[in-house]
Amino acid sequence: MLERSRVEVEKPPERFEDFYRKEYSAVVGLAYALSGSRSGAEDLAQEAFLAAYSNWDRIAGYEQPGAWVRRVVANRSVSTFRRRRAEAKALALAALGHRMELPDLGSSDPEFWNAVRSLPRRQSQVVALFYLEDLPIADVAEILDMSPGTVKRHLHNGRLALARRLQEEVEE
Amino acid sequence: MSLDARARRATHDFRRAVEDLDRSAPDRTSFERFDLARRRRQRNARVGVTLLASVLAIIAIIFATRAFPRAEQPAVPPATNGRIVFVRYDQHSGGPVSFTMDPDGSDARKVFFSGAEWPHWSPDGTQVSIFCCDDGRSPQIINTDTGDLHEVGPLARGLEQYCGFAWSPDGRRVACGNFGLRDPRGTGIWTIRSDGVGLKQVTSNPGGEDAPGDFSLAGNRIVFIRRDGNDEVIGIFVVKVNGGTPARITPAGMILDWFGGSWSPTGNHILFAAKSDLDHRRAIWEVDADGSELHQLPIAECGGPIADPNSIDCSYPGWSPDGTRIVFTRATKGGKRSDIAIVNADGSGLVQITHTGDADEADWGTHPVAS
Repeated sequence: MLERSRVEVEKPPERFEDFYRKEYSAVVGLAYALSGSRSGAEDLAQEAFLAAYSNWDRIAGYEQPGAWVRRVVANRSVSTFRRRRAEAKALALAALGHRMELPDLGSSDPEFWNAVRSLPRRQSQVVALFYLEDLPIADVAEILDMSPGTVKRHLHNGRLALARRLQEEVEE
Repeated sequence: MSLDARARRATHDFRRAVEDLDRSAPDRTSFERFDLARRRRQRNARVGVTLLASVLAIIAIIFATRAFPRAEQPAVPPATNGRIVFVRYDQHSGGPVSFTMDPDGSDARKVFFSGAEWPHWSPDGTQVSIFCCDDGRSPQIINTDTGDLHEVGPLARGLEQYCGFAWSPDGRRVACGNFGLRDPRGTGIWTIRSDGVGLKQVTSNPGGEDAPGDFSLAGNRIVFIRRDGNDEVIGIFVVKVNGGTPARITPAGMILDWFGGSWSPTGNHILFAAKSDLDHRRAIWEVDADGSELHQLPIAECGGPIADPNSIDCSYPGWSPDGTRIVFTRATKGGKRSDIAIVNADGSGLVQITHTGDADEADWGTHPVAS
């Protein structure tokens, strides 16, 4: 879906550096929201940007290159092994003084984000993109390569599960 | 408070913290760090492509007779091919789920509930090691017939442990890729007995990462992939399980992924995934444990140019227990779907055995087939 959405020819492709600077913070934020790994979020985002750079000639032509990077991050962040490995590696490097520590992104309401991460994989991806990036259903569907109907189902089930776990009410 | 109101509040604070990320960097900005890593990777790739042919010849000449004996006696005789364990990303539960199936793709059975990744058979085909349950670090080992589950542990203090990627041929030990959280020298390959005791360090790579691939057929060597502190792949290496200096068996600059290698149960042939250059997709390669005989397996469509919409990305190769066949992940055109396929050891006879588009991480074991 992402690959078929080409930009019109009159629009020049975005420079990778501009793309990176524009998207970096949001992509790291998504990695952190989904992985819960403060120190591994930057590594997860960096892996996704390196993958985008390697294929930039193609990805720059997509209508939403940022959606491609978000999909890579969303999929990698919910892999238990990948996120734990990224966190462990970042911690080992920090012990050597090689990396900065990210600020504590989730301090405002860690219970909320912990609950998001405890949802099944697809529900957590949909809920994080819906709330964190304030994206419409169609954009979430494009990022995660699923139909809008499937996104709606995951969002509905995910919000109900969140409300139960957080003991909040759901507004329909 | 409603859920949406709470979400808006939590998200607002979260966004503000994220926006401060770049400003909080004490040294280089994030893009400068990224660009440094990118340029290093590009330089390594250019150098590697330029030198690849000459290095291959040199490695073949120098190491063919010196590095390791070419013949190695197996710890156990070659086994018969049994069931394959693999992972599907289940659309209903939303998580990775481990299944076993016969080598023709039939009789798929769920091994474990949602959340189990990277399954690997024990050599006797009775157990599978998996990563699951969000507690990471130590693998769970599950008996596929009884469902009995136990954790490899206890965990060592100051170590982040990732064990279970490979079993020794006698089934007594599993290989780990660990990170030293207090002492950086602890980062490297370790082995541990499958009952959770007898942790032994094999390699040390402070600041980098060593990820195990497989044990040799005699169980006295391990193949692994090494990364430096900038997450750059240095190469695939072979080391004795009792330590010593690892020997690199892939040329400098070869574009490898994260996979540490699969060691043939009948010889010294090692499978791995690599790209010929940045403009091509991954393909399955083979090299002998002494670094000789490096070549790409001629598997149909694997490793074509990225610009070619019909090219196929192939990865995660593993030998069948009798060493005559290879199982691997074969991504569909465009890379959105992946299935499990098998070929003969020479790359011929391609057969796709799953057709759901969500399969990956296959390991071929000796558990008797169902049919």
